[in-house]
Amino acid sequence: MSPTRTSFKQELNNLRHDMIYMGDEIQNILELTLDVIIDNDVDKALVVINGDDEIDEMEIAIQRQCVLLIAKEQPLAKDLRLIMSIIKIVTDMERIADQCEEICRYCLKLNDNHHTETDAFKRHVNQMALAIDKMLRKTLDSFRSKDVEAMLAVCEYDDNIDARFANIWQEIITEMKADNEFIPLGPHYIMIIKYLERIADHTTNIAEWMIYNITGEYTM
Amino acid sequence: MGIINIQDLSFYYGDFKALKGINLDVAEKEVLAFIGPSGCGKSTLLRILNRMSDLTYGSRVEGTITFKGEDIFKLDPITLRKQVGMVFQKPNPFPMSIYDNISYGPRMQGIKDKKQLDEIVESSLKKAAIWEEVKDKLKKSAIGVSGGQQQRLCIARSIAMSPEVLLMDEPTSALDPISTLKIEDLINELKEQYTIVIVTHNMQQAGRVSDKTAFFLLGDLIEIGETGQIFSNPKEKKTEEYITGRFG
Amino acid sequence: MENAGTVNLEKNDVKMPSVSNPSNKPAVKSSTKMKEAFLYGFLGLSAVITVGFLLWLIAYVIIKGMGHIDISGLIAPIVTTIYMVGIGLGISVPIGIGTAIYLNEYSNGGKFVQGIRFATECLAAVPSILFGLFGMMFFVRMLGFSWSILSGGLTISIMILPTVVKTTEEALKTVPQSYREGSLALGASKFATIRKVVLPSATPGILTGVVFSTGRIIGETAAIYLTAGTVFQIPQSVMSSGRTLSVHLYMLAKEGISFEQAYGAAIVLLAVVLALNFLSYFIASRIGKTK
Repeated sequence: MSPTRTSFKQELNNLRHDMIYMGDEIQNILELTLDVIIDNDVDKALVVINGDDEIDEMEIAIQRQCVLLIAKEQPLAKDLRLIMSIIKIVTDMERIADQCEEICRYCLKLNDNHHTETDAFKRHVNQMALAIDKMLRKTLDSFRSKDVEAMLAVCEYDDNIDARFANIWQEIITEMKADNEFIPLGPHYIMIIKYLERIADHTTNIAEWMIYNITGEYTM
Repeated sequence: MGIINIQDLSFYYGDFKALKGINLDVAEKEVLAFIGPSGCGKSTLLRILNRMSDLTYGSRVEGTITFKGEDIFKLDPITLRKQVGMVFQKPNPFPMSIYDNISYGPRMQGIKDKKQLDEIVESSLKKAAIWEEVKDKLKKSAIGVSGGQQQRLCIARSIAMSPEVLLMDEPTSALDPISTLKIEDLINELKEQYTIVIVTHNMQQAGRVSDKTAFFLLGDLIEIGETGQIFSNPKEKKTEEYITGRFG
Repeated sequence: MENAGTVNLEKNDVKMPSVSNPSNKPAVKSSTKMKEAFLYGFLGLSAVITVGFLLWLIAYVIIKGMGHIDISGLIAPIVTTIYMVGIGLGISVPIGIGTAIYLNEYSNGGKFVQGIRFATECLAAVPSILFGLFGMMFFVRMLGFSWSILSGGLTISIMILPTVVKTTEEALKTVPQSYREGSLALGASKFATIRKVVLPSATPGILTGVVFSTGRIIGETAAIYLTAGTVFQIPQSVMSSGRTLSVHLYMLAKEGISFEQAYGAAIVLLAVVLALNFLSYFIASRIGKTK
């Protein structure tokens, strides 16, 4: 039997590529945010903050394309799951970009030159951010390679991030108690790690939707 | 202005007004789908476009249609039909060989050279994506192949005339789902070279193959627009009710 | 039939316990069964009678005529018959096909066309003796063709014209409208469409009609008797008188010349007519195959 619906398949492929492209953009933003957290790079923070509109546009464009494909092609089974997952995934991606923006705003307010890598909590924040960056990369790679095992590993890794979050939270409280001057800065750091933790959650969601796309199963 | 332009077109079967002042423009190399419930006039309009409607005794046309700027009602219907081909609801290959079916039109135009005819037959069958399936049985009867293949032969037969416009009147309503998808794929390929107007009862099909969709109801053109827009966000309430299955 | 019976029986068996008077049911059933059997017997008998008469007739003619086939004595009637068929078909087939094409392909069902159709049907219903009378008055007397093969052929061609028109029209009607539309949509003219697509598809049907008409010409006596005369000779030209096989047979029997020879001629006539019937049956079955 010869292949049919070639143009529809092409459209789905384009959609998949658009989503991967958006994922790479999100990865870039997250990496810029990483530099902002670690080096307090003001220029990069502004790039992240100003770049958010572009991401919003991408999200809308992809979702519009999804709606068109549903309306015109009546996708079923794996085609339907792909479109459904992409609609959900781009929403999570857009949220990640929003959170990166928030993190950058807090970093700008923080303008903290006093605390460096020598402080344990600061080092742990940096490590957490790096871990999340790796997590997102692994998620996007697993989509390209359709590797369900890797996606499941990402979901499990979320617990590790949650643990780090609780840990750092405690470290910041301790630091605030020890150092009165740190009291106004502490909440900023807490907000930053909270946003990082949320990014990990969204990344986990993305991995879950990717699993749904392949297997049709929901991951709890 | 597109390749076909319809202005204030009304059509009567005796006293019955089947089309009521249609205004419509068909752009070059686009696929335009006509949808609407039975009796809405969509097939009638299609058959006027190559003047097959002339065959209906007791019918009358008002208004103008131009094809590449020329009034089709002043053209010789034979000249018009050479440029505006038609594919019918039921595959209708002639009871002769596949080769003779495809070369029928060119022969009518006076092409006698065997080599030239061979070339036309081969290229038409290739364009209709059926060459591989029938190249070994060109001398066999066209009635012997499957319904889906017959319909692609009929498309090839139209293509052999190198028309500019292909009219398709519910071309897949007599076919099974796989043959239907093959025809739809073919339409997607053909739109690179031809302007296609397709009437379909199957809204999903309109969605899959067309760039633009026109919705007809009781002889009126209710709405025309990009297919994606018509199917996701129609402007007219009647269109919305029809495509969501609220009536029809 | 048998199946229906058993199904009924089972149904009744199942219902039996709930019926107050179970003995009633089988009575009704057996009377229905008897009716069925009677009807079946009657229909079967009718069929047997039909075939029986045909076989009887053929056998009777063969038995009576076998050994009396005088080929040399039949050459003249056979040649005359061939002439008659040639003229009859030669005139009626082109005109008949032309009329049928006009009626079916060109006309659009107006009053005029209805008139033509009605006239054709009337013509078909006229007894052949009237054609004979007309032929005698018009061709033989008025046009002065005298009793000749020409007069006979012209008369017989008028007689079979309605048959040719009717069968051709039927044949044209079986050609799907979609063929015509397909051809016209390719920019073919109406004439080209009829010539290249419609007529080839209708040919088997038209041929069946022609064969049928041939049978009628061969079998006709009255009309030919009155217009072609009864001279027993190999015709020199279309202007000479002659007798066809059927007329020959009629003369032999009526004049009481020789019943043996009559049966001999009858065998030949029967053979030709049966052969034509098989031919038309064969053509008809070929149509069935191509569609």
